[in-house]
Amino acid sequence: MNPYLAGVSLGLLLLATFYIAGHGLGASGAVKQFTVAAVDEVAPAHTADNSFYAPYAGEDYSMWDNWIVFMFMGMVIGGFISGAVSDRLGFKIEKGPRIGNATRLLFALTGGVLFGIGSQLAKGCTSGAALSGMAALSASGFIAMLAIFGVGFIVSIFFKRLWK
Amino acid sequence: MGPLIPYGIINPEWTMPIIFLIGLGFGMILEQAGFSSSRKLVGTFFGYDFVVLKVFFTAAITAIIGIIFMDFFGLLDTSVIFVHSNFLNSTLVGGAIMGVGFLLGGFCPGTSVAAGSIGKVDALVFIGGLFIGVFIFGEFYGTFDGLFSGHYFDREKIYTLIGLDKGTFVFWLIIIALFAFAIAGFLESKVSNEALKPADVKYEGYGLEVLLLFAIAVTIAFMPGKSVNTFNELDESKVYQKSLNDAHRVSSEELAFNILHEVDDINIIDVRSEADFNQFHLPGAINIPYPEITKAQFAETFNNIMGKNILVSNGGVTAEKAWLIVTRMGFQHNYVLNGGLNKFINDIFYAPKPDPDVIKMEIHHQYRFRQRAAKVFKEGEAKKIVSDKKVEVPQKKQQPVQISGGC
Repeated sequence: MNPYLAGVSLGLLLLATFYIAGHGLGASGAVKQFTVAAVDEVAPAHTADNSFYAPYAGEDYSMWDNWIVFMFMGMVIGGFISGAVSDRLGFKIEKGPRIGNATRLLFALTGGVLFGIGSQLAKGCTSGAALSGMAALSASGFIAMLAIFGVGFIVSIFFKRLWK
Repeated sequence: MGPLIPYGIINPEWTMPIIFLIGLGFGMILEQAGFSSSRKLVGTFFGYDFVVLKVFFTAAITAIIGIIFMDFFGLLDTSVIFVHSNFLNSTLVGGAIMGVGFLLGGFCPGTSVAAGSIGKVDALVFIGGLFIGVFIFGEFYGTFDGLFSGHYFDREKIYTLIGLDKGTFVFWLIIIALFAFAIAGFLESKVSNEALKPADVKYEGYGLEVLLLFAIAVTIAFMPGKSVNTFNELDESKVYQKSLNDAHRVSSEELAFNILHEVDDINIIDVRSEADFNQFHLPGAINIPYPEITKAQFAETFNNIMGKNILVSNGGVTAEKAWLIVTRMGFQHNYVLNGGLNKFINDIFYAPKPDPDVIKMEIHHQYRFRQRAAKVFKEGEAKKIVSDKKVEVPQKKQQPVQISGGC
């Protein structure tokens, strides 16, 4: 798909989301919901005690009351449909030519951990904080975007081997 | 006027199915854009494939332009749309950590979901990492929280932070994006390694689109302030029809019951003069004198999205007139105290004892309720009940709905 066409489609979808629901798109928020639900299942006393978990834990809170969980479900199915239509389904590890599978997966895990921590600090990820924030011209959206891509560029100097 | 769900135009029960469909579209677009490929995603950082830059900025600019025009034409109330408020330092540090994560992991959360859904193992591992990361953050929340506090953004706009006006800022943003796209195209064409070249690169043929975007940028730069009022004036005949039926009239008992029990989130608006209001008013009432009801600053008060407004005057005629005006202005959930304060006082405080021969239960119930209400009002209990509600005449805009964010 032409990237500009994809961009316009994504922009219109984001606009529609604001128009219908009053908020933007998001992904990392769902991971938070799942994580808290899991921790709450294992150690309910612990979640009640922790001010990060507590608002999303306990008997009277269900993650199914949170829209972001449904958006996540939609994304999984939407991505799958798109992959099926374009014949891209299949288990595969994608990596740079100079590294092995184990290295790739180790770095994927590390990247995920960092993104998990960073998204909680910045209250959102590339879609929730940066893209949706920018659409509403919010200062935090633009700063999140600059921080993510700016630091990404700096780090890329040291990790060329991973990808090229 | 939007947003549709917070404004009650779409039933909130439809939220989840609609959001699911939006997610479906989101996943499809990300996957179709090529975001299910980690090498494509990090390409932006190495200069061989700028798909992320192109999609991300095109999407942001499309949405920005859309929101600006919808706001201009009164289709979207931008004062209620949800934006995260956060500390500057948390955003910077969090963003920096995500930047490192992006380069090492090759994904961001949204793209990893799209990639994981088609079976990319590295994406699934990345998602596993996300869970661990959130868990670590949660466990050390006491340490993290407040660590990077400093300069709180309360939904501050980027253009006010920089000190530009909105139109000028968006104009330059579009110009910068156009340059960035041109440079990206140029760099991609310079990549020597054919294998790394994105398949769908096309460097020419965007002339018309660029011109159109430039025209939009200029329009936004010179766009005047909002010329139209954002309320939807109701058709005369509809107002007339509404005024004929009694649905908007509230009886003395209904109002008393609401004040005493707070059944609905009611807002009593006294439309008499300030002098009359100061002499006597119902507990919790706010004063917007009849000649001032059309002032813009009261628009949000009269357009009571979540609760009900009850308009009161001495005899009820002025309140009825005020109701006609605000209803004509398209504001919803306004009601009139039938018979006004005079009838209210007569009904509640001077309720005639019903004839003991009358056997109708309602009459006796009504009398007993009136007596109880009178007692509570006289003892000042009602004042205590409503004093906690802190109803004030808003000088500033108030947020009608708290929209929760996700990501």
